[in-house]
Amino acid sequence: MSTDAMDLDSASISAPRVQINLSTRDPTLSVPLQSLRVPTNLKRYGLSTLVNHLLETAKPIPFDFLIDGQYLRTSIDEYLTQAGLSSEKPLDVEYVRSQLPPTYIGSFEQDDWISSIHLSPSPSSSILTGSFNGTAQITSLSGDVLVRTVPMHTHSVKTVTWISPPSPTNEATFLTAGIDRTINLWSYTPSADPSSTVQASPTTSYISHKSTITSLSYSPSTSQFLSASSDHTIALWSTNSSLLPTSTAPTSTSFSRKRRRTTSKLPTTERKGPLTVLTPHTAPVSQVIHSPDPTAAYSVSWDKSIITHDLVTSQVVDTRVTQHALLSIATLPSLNLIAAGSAARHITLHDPRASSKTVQSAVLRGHTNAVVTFARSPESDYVFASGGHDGCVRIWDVRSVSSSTSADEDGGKSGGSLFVIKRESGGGKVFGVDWSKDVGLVSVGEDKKIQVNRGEGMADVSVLEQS
Amino acid sequence: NIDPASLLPKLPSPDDLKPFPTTCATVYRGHEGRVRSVAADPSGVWVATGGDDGTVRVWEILTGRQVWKLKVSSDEAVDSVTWRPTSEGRILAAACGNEILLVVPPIFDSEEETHGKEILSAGFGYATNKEGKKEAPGTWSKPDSELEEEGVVVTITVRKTVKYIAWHRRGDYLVTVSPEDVRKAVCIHRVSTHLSQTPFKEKSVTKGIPQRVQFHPSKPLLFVATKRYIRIYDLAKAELSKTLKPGARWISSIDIHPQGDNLIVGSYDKRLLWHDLDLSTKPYRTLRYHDRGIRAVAFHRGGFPLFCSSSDDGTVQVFHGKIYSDLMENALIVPLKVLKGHKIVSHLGVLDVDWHPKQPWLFSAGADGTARLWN
Ligand SMILES: [Mg+2]
Repeated sequence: MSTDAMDLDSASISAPRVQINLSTRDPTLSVPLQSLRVPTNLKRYGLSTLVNHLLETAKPIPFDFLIDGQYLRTSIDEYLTQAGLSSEKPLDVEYVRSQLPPTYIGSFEQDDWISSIHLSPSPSSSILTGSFNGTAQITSLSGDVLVRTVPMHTHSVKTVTWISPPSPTNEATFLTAGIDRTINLWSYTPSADPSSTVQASPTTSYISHKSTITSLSYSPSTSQFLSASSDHTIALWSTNSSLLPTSTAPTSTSFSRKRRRTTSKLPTTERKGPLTVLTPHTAPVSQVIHSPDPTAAYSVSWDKSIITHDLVTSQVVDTRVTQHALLSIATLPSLNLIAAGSAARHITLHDPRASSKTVQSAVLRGHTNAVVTFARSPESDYVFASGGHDGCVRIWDVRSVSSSTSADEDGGKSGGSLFVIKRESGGGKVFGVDWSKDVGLVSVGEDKKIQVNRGEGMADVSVLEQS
Repeated sequence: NIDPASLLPKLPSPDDLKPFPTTCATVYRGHEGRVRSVAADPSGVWVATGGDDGTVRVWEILTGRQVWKLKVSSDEAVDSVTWRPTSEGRILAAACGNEILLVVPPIFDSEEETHGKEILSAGFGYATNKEGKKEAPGTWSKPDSELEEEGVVVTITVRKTVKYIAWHRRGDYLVTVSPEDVRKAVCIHRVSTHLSQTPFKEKSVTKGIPQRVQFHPSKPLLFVATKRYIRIYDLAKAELSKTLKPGARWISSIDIHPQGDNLIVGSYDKRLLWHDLDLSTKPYRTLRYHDRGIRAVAFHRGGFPLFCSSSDDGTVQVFHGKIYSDLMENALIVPLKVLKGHKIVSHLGVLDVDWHPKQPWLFSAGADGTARLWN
């Protein structure tokens, strides 16, 4: 079969041609003919049509094309010119299924701003959210409120995390923390009846921080968790209470005393202190996460730095100082990359390995306000979502990052997002995002809504073809 | 054969003077009526506002969430809010009518809260001992139980409406101005002893209607701005040390550079004036960029060479202002950005500004009922 036989486009027949070598990592999508000459004025859509033709697909599958690890976003000709390559040489082109734009599935409303979200691990069935009203709740995938916490926090909950998600055999536990500086451990026994709401009870309070707790990270393999605070510190804790000292800190401030007087019968909890407190930051710590190796952690702060901590020795392994206050962090483990979200509206990508010489490897622009939350794609190592105070969730593919042509303060490479998800409610800041195969991309914010978007079921791909 | 233009110093481009605020990041919504005053707390986590609705509010900086509100009065505005400028003892001073409230908002760690309350309570016995000796310009008292419950530790009652409060850097003294009080417009209040006094005996100092007051950041000097002049009063020698003549018809606001040798002045006649205190009693630079009167001016105090002015034209204007250690070199002033977003309501625009203590972030208070964060 010859490519000349294919009537790709009448105008392209006379165009210059280049030899391409097609490849894919998905064996179900490999084409019989890998090497062919194509017109250099082809763009993504033309190449996608070509591959579908070669695959003889009944229904077209939209494809994206990677040359030298980057998405083709121009014609082949423009790519060759920008890269300074000649059309004489064959070009290696990898193709992947296009990311489908996640469509709006639905949303569940609560009575106050929602600060944080954590989906129970696969198969996800329970959506844990923290509220500015000082409670946390667990919502089923159909929107039933399965669990509510009793009043315990005297101020907004800013962060939540599962410890042991609900299962038929086990009691479920999770952590909450926020403005009142206390981390609470909650437990509940899931009800068989999804229409009834169970109350979760606090069992342990973890006391160390002197200002808002901004972030929690739990590692199942070590049974330890980390907390980050606006008091500039990070505390390390164990879910095994017998390993922790008893806290002797004063029990309450005047505000909580007042609340206590007006609220009848508040539960009492076991009060524990931390294993260790890490103090290398010099400004509020925005987020702390475990590294893929759970004996290490990464944290970001308003002091502009990304710090790698050794949790065994409590030593700082590495410090990267960026140009702006940092508000969020995520790892892309298979790529050895860290993404950091800034108050200055952008995302920077970093190689955290000590051997890496560069401070940052790319800048991702698009958000128009602070970038405060991340979630990795459950399906692609290259893809992640970010949520911002601009009310948008953006989906990024690190392969769409290209060399920046304009020299600016950040330097290096830059990229744009694949998709933008706005609030169905119309607006408000996004505070939390999580992403799982079963539920989809779930975001929460100032609009009091848990918004669910999903990429699957997108039979009509014409939306993508127009772009 | 030298082109004279080539000898003029070229102003650097704003792009080379980053970072500075360019965008509205957060809108603090809740006040009913004008927001009169805005102040970031020294820890940089909270921002306080006061407004015509008689409330003081504290907000979480990035999310814009209100975390605390105190209704001080049903008929009088909260005209000035300002945090004690020290790293420990979180104390907020708020002026409402002829009262100054010293508050520890219930948002802090119990240790910090206790410390703040101790600082404010220490003077209670002291004040009663001195009572009756002479008519003090301010009366210190415990608030009613409702206010006490909300964190108000002590109130100071003066004779006329307080328009502005400023702390001394060590946090023991605060100075207030009540322009309507002809005899005792300027009062200095001492937290540790609960005593208030008027600092001036001389007529020459008190001439004119005081608008703003501020302590020098390191020397025992008090700056008093009347409509037309700024008098620098030496508190140690108890005498007038210098009078600055900005040439403005009606001064609205002043701020002293954190290093203490330069001063900016805002005027209702649209002018922003930069005084180099070592040079002359006349301004070193006059900046006319606003279309309407200037309401507030502020230097950044956290290491960024930035200052700003806010105006009834609804904008905040951000400038680079770099001081050189070489005395022969004049300050470098470069306009950077006009921040637009506040709406003008009844001819009033942006009534107050404050910088974040450590970040290149700016807060503004508007007649449109909002406060805003710019970064
Ligand atoms: Mg102010």
